[in-house]
Amino acid sequence: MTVTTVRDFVLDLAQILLRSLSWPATPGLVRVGNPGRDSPVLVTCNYDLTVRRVLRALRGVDAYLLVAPTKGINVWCGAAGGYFAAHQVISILRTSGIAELVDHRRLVLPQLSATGVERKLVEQRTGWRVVFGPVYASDIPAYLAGGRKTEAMRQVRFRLADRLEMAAVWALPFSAIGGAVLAIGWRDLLWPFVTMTWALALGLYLFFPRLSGTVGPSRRPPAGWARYLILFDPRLRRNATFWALFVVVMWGQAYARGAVHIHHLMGWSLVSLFLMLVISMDLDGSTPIYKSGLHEDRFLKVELNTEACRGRAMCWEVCPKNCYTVDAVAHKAAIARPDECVQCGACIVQCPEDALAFVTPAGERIPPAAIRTYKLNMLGKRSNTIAQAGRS
Amino acid sequence: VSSYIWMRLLESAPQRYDAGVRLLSMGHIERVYRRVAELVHGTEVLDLGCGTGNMLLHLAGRGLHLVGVDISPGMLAVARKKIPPGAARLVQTGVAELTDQFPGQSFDTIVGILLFSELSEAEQHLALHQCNSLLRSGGSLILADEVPAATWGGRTMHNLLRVPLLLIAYLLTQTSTRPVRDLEAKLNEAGFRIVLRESNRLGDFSLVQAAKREE
Repeated sequence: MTVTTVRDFVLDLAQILLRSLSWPATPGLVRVGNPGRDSPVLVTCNYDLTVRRVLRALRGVDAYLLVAPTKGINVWCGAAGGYFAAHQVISILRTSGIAELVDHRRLVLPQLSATGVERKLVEQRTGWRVVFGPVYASDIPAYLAGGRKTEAMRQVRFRLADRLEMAAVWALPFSAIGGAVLAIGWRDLLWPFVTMTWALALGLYLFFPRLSGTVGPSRRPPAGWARYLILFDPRLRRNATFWALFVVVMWGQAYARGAVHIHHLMGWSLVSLFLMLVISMDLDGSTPIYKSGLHEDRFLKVELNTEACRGRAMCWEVCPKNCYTVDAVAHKAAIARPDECVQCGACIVQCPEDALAFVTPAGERIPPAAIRTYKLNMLGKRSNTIAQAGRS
Repeated sequence: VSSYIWMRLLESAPQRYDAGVRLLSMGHIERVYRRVAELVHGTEVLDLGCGTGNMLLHLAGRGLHLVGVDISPGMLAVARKKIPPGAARLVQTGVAELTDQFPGQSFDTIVGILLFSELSEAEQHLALHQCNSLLRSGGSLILADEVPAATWGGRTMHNLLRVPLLLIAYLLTQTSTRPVRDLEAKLNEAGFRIVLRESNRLGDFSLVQAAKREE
């Protein structure tokens, strides 16, 4: 192992476990391999973990990588939160000096930035042509070599590695804070607590595909304040079953060791129930494949005005759940899989004809311009404010 | 002084921004706005990174043509509610696009408060050059921002105050500000002449007025 690999490994581990801390990379231009005047120009965010992963994925490729100033926030969160928008792309194009280094004007952006980066604005202001590349950096070499994006390259997934990362993101703070308290006066409880926290978090995310059967737009969580009480939520049933199995294993293990102390076992069962409920509260929201169950924008539906549509397929190119199909003969798009929609808004932001818009359960249409300006999260105020912004 | 680190925290919640800034700066920021307002001259004034519009409010009612620019639509939404109707034109844009939005030589004064500490080095450089081309002959740029303290004692005090807040700000907002290095050298390089410089006691906050150099 070289020094770089060891350094990369340590940084990866630290940045995965301490995700809530900021790890910004320096914005600017990175030469990958030995780029020339025809080499591709790629853009990414300045979240250090992403930058290093993109650079690893690009081994053997000659390209320019522009690291945009997105406040150290990752691509999808940055795009949805207004930190990775057309302004940041224009800024890096103008401050990096890339125009002097290449003869072409073709810019490849990460597909997930389509929620935030308005392609038309970048093209109008800079003269660069914007295309959205694959969702995952690991697909970039195949995309560049083949010149086209396959369906798999457009699809966002929640792979085993991603699930393990999310489990660690939960387990680390819980075990650290709880462990620190126990270390003061209850040392004998420390390791059982830490082990249990990690086992629960890993279990919930490892078995996520099995547990997620009840989520999706067709299964609505209760409206209003009740949605925070996951106990009354249909989404909880499978997670509760998982917890029951966990308790059975815990009790079985105590029995096998001949250490059945009812008080202890009851106590640990309650602690594990609490942890399970906290982790489950927004289990969907911690994945890239489902909308958070806690936000109202889960109920927004994308509506397609077929008459306005001219089949330019931008929606098809940027949808991370492959919801769209495009009839190349009739030049019309269709929403083939509406239940898969995660309300990211990328299709609405990019549609050149404004043929797509969110519609609220009350039937109100949110103008595409409001989504382009305020993004879907409206800086935390979400769809209520969006509806107001649309009206004003 | 260390309260300026909270900018990032506060910007993520524009609705809480003003109360937070007042509380954390203990009135200091108000003094900065007042001092900058005294230095503003001419009729065409641009507030770069106007945020929730506090500087514009200090300038409103003086018969000036005010323009506020910010990259954050959320901050501008708050500014729109606070500023009297018609008092200022608000434009959402980044510092790299100023010359797309405004013709050359359109302003007498450009102000930027707590803006440069949020920009990358390359963006600072570009912003200064764009400001220079937007200013009329005799116009000036007024910047007020965090800077690295000049003395060892100042830096130590600054770090003592800043590091704990930096950590909290990191945890909550995942971002932070960065003191602006070599501000005067950057201004010189971009075609400005320093007219006035004022610092706080700790030397980690500076106000600089720079005039467009006649070439």
